[in-house]
Amino acid sequence: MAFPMARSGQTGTAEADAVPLDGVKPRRREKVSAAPIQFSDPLLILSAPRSFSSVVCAMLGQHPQMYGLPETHLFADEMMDRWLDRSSRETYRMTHGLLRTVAELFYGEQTIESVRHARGWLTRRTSSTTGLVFEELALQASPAILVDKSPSTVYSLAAMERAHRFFPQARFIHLVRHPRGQCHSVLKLIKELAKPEYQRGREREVGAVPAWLTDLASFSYSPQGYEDKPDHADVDPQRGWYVLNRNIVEFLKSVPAHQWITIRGEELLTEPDLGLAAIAAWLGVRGDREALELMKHPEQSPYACFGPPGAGIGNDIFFLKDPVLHPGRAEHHSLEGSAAWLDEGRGLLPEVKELAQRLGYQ
Amino acid sequence: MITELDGLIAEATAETHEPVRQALASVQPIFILALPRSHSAVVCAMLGQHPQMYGFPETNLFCAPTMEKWREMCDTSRFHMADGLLRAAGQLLYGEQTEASVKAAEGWLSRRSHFTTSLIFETLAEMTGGLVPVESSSTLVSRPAALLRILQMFPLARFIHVVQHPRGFGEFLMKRIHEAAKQGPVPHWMLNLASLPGVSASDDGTPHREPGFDPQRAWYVLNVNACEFLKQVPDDQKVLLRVEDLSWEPLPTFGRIAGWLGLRTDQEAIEAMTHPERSPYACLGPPRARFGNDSSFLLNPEFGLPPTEAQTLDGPLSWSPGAKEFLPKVSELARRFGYQ
Repeated sequence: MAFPMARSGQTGTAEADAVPLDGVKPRRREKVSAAPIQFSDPLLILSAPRSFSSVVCAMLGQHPQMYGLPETHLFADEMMDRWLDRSSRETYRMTHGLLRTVAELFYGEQTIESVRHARGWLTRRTSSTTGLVFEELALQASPAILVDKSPSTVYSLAAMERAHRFFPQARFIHLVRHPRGQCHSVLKLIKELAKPEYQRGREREVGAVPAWLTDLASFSYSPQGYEDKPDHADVDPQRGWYVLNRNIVEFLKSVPAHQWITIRGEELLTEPDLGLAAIAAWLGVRGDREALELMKHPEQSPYACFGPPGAGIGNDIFFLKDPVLHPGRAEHHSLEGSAAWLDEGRGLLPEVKELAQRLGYQ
Repeated sequence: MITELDGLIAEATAETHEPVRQALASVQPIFILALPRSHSAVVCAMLGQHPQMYGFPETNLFCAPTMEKWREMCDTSRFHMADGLLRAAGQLLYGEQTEASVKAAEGWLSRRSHFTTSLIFETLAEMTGGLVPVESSSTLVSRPAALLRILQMFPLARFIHVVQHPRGFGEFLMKRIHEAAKQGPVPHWMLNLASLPGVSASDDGTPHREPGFDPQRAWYVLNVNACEFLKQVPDDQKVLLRVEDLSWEPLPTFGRIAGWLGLRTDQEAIEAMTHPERSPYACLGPPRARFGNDSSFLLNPEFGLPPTEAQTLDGPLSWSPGAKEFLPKVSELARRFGYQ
């Protein structure tokens, strides 16, 4: 297929498309009657990596009025030329998610050919802002609400502020995971990627343990109260959990309260009906049984599988391998006690525990 | 010298809106070149009420080449430079001017920081559904580069040089300064306009009583800017309009303008132009974008133009403590505009 095509099959309603207009009505007659509300304001999931964001994004994206994206990483840069430039330096397959999205939304499928078209589509937009590219995606997915969960967004306040500046009425979900559970997940992924199978076949695209993951496990952060700068080569993923979640909390202070919520991933996955209904009500979209049922099938997402060569990933590989929701797998962790990955019986840092408690963990 | 309306379209009749010319008119914007506080806001709103035209508030777009630069200028501007564009974008993109729609417009503009300012203008103009856009940013005449940018980006644009008698302009400006002084600090730009290009006004907005006030200088400098620029514009793309003519003969003057533009000149169309208050921008905007036009127009947008009594170029100036008269070069330029 050579030319972009309109996306079909959207079942959303115009109601979801409405920009919330809470100001005073204009008192002057206007001869230009068209009021083209072109697309819905997006929903951005802000979360540290390994915090259920892939499955939650795919779940929300299955709502008939929403569209879940893979990781586009668009808001980490202002302009597309910078985005493309950075993609060549990153240690993860940064372009895969956006290539898959463009291929799917504009060319109707994710194939080697459509990904080639998508690559051209992006190259033709190198002088554009990343926000305008996101707007084009939103227009194509309209009237559905785009849901983005790119982890790179939360690595800097500037990226989150950029997303908010580009979309001043975007909604944000701060998706959190218990620090102990998130740390275990980081370490588990490192162990998994070190296996030989990730050097073979299709999974070769994943590569060995990427630098972003080892960086996440040994985040550059000096814990409070430490007189000596710690050796950041030490593996202790709680530092990454702390810094990234603190970034999000700081950013959300500048966002009007009605535009964001905090969701604990464990609760959402344990009782999805309850959590998904609450999110739907907050967003003002359908919360009926059919909509809730659809959201419990993230595996139905067009991105809940490996993509074609050249755009094979674009998401958490554990999710790509097993994108089904497993509600029974509830995690229960405590903020107290020693951490298995630390020696000398050390546990979570005081600031980690304090932030986790503010986020509702015990 | 720019051609006056009377001479240019003497042959224009009520029926001169043939399809070809109308098609041309529908894609080429009209720019009003006028001094600040010389009624360009009401003239723009009046033109915008013609059924084939759309009057924008002051977008100030052409002050900068790109939206990124425009945003930087807005951030350091001494006046609410972004308000007009935010109101227009809110109205045209989201159908109303509210806190929410203006906020959405901010995002829309931010996502287009790499656009030229002209492309933003074109994009918004397209949203009017084929109406002829009319723009009247009062910053244009003080920025020759902005005028050149317009001509470069819209080579077939039409320009209406709106002029006012220098005495009327000066007295109105001084009156506004005195009125503003009673309410608090006088806007910096207003003080500078009254003392241009001589003594600069104080930075804190305090209305000083120095003899630097002499609005005829700004009248001369800014009108010369417009005249110099218009020398580069083909004759059929420019016209001179005295605001006093609108006061004295509104309907015939509107008819001549519409005829020159190749637009409808029937009674209904011309009558519509006498209602600037019907413009969606003829009122204060929401708190995020309050202004975007001359505040006196926003507060009182009814059809009201300068006093209808004739003014003279001779005699002492009311604002001059030494009862000085107009400078010879001012009188000469005013006479070229048809004033006496």
